[in-house]
Amino acid sequence: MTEPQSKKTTRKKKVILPRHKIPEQDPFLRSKNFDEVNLGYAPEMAQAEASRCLQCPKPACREGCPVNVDIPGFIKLIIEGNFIEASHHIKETNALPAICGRVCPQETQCEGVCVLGKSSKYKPVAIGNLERFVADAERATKACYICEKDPPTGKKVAIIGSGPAGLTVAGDLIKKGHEVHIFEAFHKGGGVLVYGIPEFRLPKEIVNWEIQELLENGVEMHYNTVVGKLLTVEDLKKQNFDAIFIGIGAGLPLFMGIPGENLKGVVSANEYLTRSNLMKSYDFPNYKTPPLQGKKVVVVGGGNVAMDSARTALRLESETVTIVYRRAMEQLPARVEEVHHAQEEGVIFNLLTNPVRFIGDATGRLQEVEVLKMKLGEPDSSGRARPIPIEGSEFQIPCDLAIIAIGNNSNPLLTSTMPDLKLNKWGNIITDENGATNLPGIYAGGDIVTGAATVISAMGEARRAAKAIHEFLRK
Amino acid sequence: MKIIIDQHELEFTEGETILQIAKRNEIYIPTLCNLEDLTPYGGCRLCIVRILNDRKPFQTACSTPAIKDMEVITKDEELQEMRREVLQLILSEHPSGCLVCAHHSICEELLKEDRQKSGRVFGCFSCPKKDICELREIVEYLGINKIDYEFEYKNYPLEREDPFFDRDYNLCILCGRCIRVCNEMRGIGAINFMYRGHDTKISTGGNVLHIDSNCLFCGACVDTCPTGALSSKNTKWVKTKNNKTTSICTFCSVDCGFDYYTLEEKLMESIPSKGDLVNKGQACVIGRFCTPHFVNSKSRLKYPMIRKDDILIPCKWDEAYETIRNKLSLYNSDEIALIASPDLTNESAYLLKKFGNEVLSTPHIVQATNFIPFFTDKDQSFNDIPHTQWILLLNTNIQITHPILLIRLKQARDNGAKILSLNIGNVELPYETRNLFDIELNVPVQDATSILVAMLGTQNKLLLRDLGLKIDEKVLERYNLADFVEMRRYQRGTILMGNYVNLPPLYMNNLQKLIMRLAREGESQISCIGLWNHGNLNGVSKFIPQTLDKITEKIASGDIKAIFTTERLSNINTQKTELLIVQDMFESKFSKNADIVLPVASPTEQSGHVTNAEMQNRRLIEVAPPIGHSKPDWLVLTELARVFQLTDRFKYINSEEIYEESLDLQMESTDIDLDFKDIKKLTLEELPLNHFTLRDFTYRGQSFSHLVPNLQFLINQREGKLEEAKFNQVEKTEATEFKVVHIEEKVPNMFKLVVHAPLLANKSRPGNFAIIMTEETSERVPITLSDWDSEKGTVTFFFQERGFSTKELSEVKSGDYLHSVVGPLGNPIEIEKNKTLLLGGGCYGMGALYPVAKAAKEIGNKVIMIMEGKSKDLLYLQKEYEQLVDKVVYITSDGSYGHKGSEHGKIATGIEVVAQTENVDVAYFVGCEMMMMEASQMTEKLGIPTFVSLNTIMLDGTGMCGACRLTINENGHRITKFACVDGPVFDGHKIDWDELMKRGVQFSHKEVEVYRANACRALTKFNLKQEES
Repeated sequence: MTEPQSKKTTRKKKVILPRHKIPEQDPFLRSKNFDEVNLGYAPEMAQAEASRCLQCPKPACREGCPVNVDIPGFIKLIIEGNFIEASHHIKETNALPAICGRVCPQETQCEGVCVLGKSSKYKPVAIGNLERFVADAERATKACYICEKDPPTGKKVAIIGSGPAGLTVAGDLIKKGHEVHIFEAFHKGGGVLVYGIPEFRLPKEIVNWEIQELLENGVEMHYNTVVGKLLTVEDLKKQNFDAIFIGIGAGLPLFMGIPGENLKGVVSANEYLTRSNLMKSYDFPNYKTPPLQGKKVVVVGGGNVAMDSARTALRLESETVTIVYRRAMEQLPARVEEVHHAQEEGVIFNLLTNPVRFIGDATGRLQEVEVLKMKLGEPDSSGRARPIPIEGSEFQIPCDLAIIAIGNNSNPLLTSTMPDLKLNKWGNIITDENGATNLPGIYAGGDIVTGAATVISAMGEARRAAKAIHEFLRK
Repeated sequence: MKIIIDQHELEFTEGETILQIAKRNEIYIPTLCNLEDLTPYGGCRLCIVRILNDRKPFQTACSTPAIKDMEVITKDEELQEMRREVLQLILSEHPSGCLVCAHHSICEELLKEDRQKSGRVFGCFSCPKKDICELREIVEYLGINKIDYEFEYKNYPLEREDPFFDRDYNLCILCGRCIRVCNEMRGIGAINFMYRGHDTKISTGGNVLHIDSNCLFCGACVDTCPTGALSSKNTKWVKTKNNKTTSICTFCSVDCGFDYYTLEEKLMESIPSKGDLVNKGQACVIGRFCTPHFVNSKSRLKYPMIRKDDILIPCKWDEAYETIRNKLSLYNSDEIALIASPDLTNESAYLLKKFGNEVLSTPHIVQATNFIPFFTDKDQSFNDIPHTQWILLLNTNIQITHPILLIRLKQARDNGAKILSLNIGNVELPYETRNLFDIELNVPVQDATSILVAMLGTQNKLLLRDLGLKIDEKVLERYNLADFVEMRRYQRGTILMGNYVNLPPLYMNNLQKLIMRLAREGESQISCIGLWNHGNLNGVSKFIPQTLDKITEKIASGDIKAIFTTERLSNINTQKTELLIVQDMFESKFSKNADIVLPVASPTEQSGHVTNAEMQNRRLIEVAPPIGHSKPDWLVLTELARVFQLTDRFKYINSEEIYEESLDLQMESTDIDLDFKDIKKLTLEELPLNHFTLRDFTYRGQSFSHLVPNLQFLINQREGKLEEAKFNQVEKTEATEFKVVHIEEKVPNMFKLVVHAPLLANKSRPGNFAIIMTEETSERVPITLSDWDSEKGTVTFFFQERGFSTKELSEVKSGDYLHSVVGPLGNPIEIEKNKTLLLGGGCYGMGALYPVAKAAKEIGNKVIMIMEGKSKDLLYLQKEYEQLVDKVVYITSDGSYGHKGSEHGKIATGIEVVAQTENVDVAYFVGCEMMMMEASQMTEKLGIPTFVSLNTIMLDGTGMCGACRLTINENGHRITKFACVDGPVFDGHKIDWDELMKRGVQFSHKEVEVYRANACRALTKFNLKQEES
């Protein structure tokens, strides 16, 4: 291990190195496999990168983090070579560092406000990569982190959904001495982390490890349990749960309502990714769920899910993968790194185009998609330029698989069984800033509240909700 | 001699049967049991003909020899009637609901693209022989549309545990073809008739699995079966009638003719060509079953790769060519070696030679074995082997290297030939092969030479003296060979020499020379055929007669710095090699160390020629396009030469052009220079014998069994290693939920499953379904909840085996645990009071409707139930329904119970029957999509409000994925609904049925792959364990 550098260097004299790029698999090679794209820092590299941190007395990064991780604190531990302690330090505020280090949009959060990045000379400290590094280093020891728990309170909390929000709430409340039960509809825990985010971006082994750690800490997991069907919220109340957290995500795929959408070969990104990620159909026929494979694949949409779908398609032996998005490159809502990776791997971006209909053959299989050219107009209510169709600019793109990744609405499966629960017009649960719904003892967080958003924002809300639940239970 | 058949005067030769003459002259006589090349059996009695002016006017054409001036009538009304009678008797024990179904043609039209993937076959719609059924051809020829005898389903268990093929003896018509082909043609006799009379069944001795019998899985029985009783797992569920290409199998040097079948440009099945003179419709397990697995293996190389920063990185071909040119140009021509695989086609070998000579000017162009074969005389034919009087097998294990020739050996033996097997070293031959030998010897090297000299040199003492050899009589005495030598003196013989045991190249060469010289210069007629372990050693050696051992040392010492090889070099030290370019089909340890890897097409993905052991040039034809970015070797070399600016000399656009050019340059095996003085009398201990590694074929160094799990399974079993595998079965972890309380097959394909799931039992309502996963790797399958008992905490499902996932579920045992049961999903059915309800159920629907009927009766409705099935054997829960509801109406396709279905379909018939007497308020139907569609169409005509319960493809079942989409036509609008959360019950009159049915089959081709990869349950377990270790 290298000699820690920061002890000797005072802040004034500090020589700031360029940001260390995280090693990645070669684009051509990785577009053929499901191994993780980023290879992670080596210890020396991590320490060198950590030493770039200025250790600001009033860290902006910490404020930029939705869960307020003590970023300078854990970076200091890295510099000192205490990787495991660094990981434990993060876990005091964020139960899932290995996941957040990989999937958070750091460029708009911690790294976006990093003082180093404010200067035109330097790039911000690679906080995400460092977080990931320490979490991986801890996981490599194969020892679960058993947190210090408060004495048992005798209170029971039910968490509906084991996605990022649910896992965060569970991690926080178990520390406070409450009894925590998670109810999950699938046969595996992790929610969108296992069914949505592909293996090459977030290896499932990591999600399983984080869940295992929660279980070791005393959280109870109930798989195959669809709340709203097998159990209702009323049933949970009867089972003496003192508080309930709803973190069921946004799980109702949007379609475009254009002709031909029910042809064979037109699928939602949810179906496409669930097959590949949760059901592991990329390992077909060892796993029996058939994969959706096409030679010419079109992905409609420009978010992270669209990028994940496109990159999965490349890995499932397609010849061409085209993203069709109605706005321009600048408006792509996906994480910059994901767009960058997708471009490197060979995804074609067909921007300013919008599908108008799907055309199939006699057997009902998709043959091509007709699209319309768009141009950008005045900003709309979301602040983004409104795309305007160009008359008569239709053309066809041949394709045998079209993946619709234009977003999700909230799934009414559970909320429809709770008539007293206040919802907004999109079916999202209305809560206060602490995640409390209009019903006492019932809290909510994540996409079911905000509509489809990111993993970390769900975790941020979950943290606040956990705090509020704890306050509620103490009364 | 002449015979008159149907007024045609026809020539015949003594011994021909009437059927043979008729066939030769294209006069059709129906038969199910007769098979060319097998002895007549007279079992099916369908080939009955009228013989005029004979004491016995009706005789079977297959077993009656023609007599001079005999007059035969093959077809008249009386004969046809007799045949119909016979056929009806056959059909009364063969599920033939579809053959006599009035609705047949409509069903056929709707289901023409896909085959229902049920376990037990109950009609043509799910039969593996749907496209090529001999039974159906005869039914159509005789015009049968009803069967007067009551159909009896034998209900034998399905036999699906074995690798490669499945057996369903419920379809068997006992024609005995499989038994005869196995016994007479192949000489194996693995199967025979078991039991007597009505209970007669075909089985292995002791009724064990085929894998535990002496079956060699050659597939001859499968290819000869006239029904769907025997079916290959490769294509059991897929239509293969189209897209046939006739080519050859090049994995051994016999080069059998095969008909290859493809689907979506992927090789699915290989069936030996009937008309091919080399193999005459026979094959071995490799050619018949393993080829599709091998060439479609996941470990195929798909992209060229270049080593950058110590990692092999995929690249484009152009980049690979450029890199090769740049790197090779750094070396002197004598620092470069080109190595040819003995599995290359002649064209590729020729081109490799030309590339080496003209592009690289290197002297080191070798083929990757240590000896050059020149053993085979010109124009030797395998077909002569059966007519030879003695056979000497030298250093062979043909069951492993050339299995198809076992047939020829067996024929020779049947004709009275004496067979001697002489192996050097301690070689253990398989039982089936040893059975054919009169004498089997394993001898040390020096004795082998002595025996050969003694055997072959008896007539040519002068030659022996020239060579300085002596006949050692003691050896003959010691091995008791006097008779054999005596016999050899006067008669025709064949010597089959192989390189099964890897002997020193010098010794091999001398041995070849000695035998050929002695054989040629003697007085007897002796044919010499070389049976080498490599597919095209004969062909490659014609162009590249240099061997690898010439340059081994130069490679090891680093004098040769760059190697371009088309074969893995397992025994060569390449540590000092600076540049290693590998052209291969599969990933391997060897290619992982290469600097540049080029992916090549499989033999089925290219055209060309290979030279077989008979020295015939056999033509290979491209069956499917190369996988990924791989290319045939000749194309790679052509394109590479162009990068070296030699476009003029390498302007080939197809392999045919190369072939034309290469014909002129083939090396003729000139007179053998006999230099025998170098022979070393090595003792056994000094010989590097590595024959124990050869367990199956290898192609370019890749052994088949590594890529074909079924073959691995077979080999392990034969080598007694399977016990261990069974012992290692993965234990299912103890779970608290989802224990299987009870499972039984109520009627064929229909299973009743009771699972312990207390919470679910509390919450289930009529119309709900659950999603079941059998194992962690399984699909999520939606199945309707049929009953629940909240006291016992159990739920009941009825499911039909209709594909791999339900097959997997059907194989669970009481006490097992299911991986997942999620429910209750979907919306319950709302039933109004005081109504007359019509329920209609087919297949799983009879079980699925039970809770609806129960709930409807509980609130006092009048309930009429229609139960429909192909035949009475498919109806279940009759008693329960009769006790529960007001009236039960039965409909069957064949009329075996209740009403017979009309041409509108069974359910429509049932609705018509009910509507005549009842005033129905609302109707519910559950069954297959076609049945629900036809029911909805009929009730729409009658104005009955109708609901159906859909069972679409689903993943989560909670509205998250949208896989279950369907279109509802509502007031002229097309609305998309999700079956899982909006249904599963919908208004049958509003569903877009056409779209629904098309969506329902979108993965059927994929399911074929799952089946062939996982069909053997024991094997799945075995593999799981292997992966872990």
